[in-house]
Amino acid sequence: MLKDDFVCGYRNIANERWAGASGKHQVDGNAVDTTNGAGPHNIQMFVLSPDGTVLTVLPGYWHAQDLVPELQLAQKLNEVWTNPNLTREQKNNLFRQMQLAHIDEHPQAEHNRSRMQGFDIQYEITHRLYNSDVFYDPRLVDPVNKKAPPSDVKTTDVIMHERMARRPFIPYDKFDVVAFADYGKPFYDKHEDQRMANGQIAPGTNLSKEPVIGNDPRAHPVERQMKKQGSFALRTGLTTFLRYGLRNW
Amino acid sequence: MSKLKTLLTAATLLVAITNPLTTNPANAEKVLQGEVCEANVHKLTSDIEWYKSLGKAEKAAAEQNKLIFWLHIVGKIDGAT
Repeated sequence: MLKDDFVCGYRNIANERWAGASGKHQVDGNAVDTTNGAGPHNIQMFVLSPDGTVLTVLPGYWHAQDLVPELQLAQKLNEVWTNPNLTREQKNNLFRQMQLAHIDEHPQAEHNRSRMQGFDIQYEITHRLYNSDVFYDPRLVDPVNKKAPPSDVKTTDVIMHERMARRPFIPYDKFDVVAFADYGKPFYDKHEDQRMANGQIAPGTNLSKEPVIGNDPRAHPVERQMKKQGSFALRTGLTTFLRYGLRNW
Repeated sequence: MSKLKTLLTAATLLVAITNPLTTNPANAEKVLQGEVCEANVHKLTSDIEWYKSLGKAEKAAAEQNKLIFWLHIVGKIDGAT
């Protein structure tokens, strides 16, 4: 479907300040499966009309069987966008309706594949419990033990469509991807290259030594060293000035 | 970017092109070996032309009457992620 029906492109966001980070993996490294919507800061899949209007965005990883219906929805949304007989207000309303209605079209199996990762839930509880749209009712969350009833946590497919419904037909260069893709931890990795064939982490592995890519100081050791040296030079210079410069003033 | 993203770009998107991918949440930690990943990435990047310029992608999409699938990833689609 992608090859035949879409023009494909990509943008490397590794150096963007708003991007996430993860362990750095080469092409021939291992891979593991995960849930829909995992790693939203590290990957975002846009579907755009030819004029650059955002039809839909999928944050994070997405299973192929769930990706295809979203691509099909985007095609239907494009029909609305290009319909000359509709006003902008009508188009926006249809956009909202279609995004939210798609939630009901998701099979239960997709909701199951879209359960938020536990550490992402904890992150939301810790950092923005009462400002998060991840929970149906934040009052049901135990902020002390950082536990939420499973039924109170939205699945990522629901979060995605709800957030998209609030962004009808936005131009790509005006789309607030930072806010849209912001839930859970900025750093996401499953240590695939450190896993054995049975899926377990190899004994003796030092995960802190894993190379990192993206918006994380560990991914930029040279830059971090230069900042340290610059900071040291500034402190040394200031100290010298205070000791000797003022004395001779 | 985590290799699971390569699983996305290689296996998942590739599957969107060809065969349906069936996954079982119970196998969430099942490891896909590096050789398979490399082959999948190669197929994904050779079967599909990946534009790096959105402007050029928009032009091509208008000419071909297609939508644009525009991917943000931490890393390179044919390199480290």
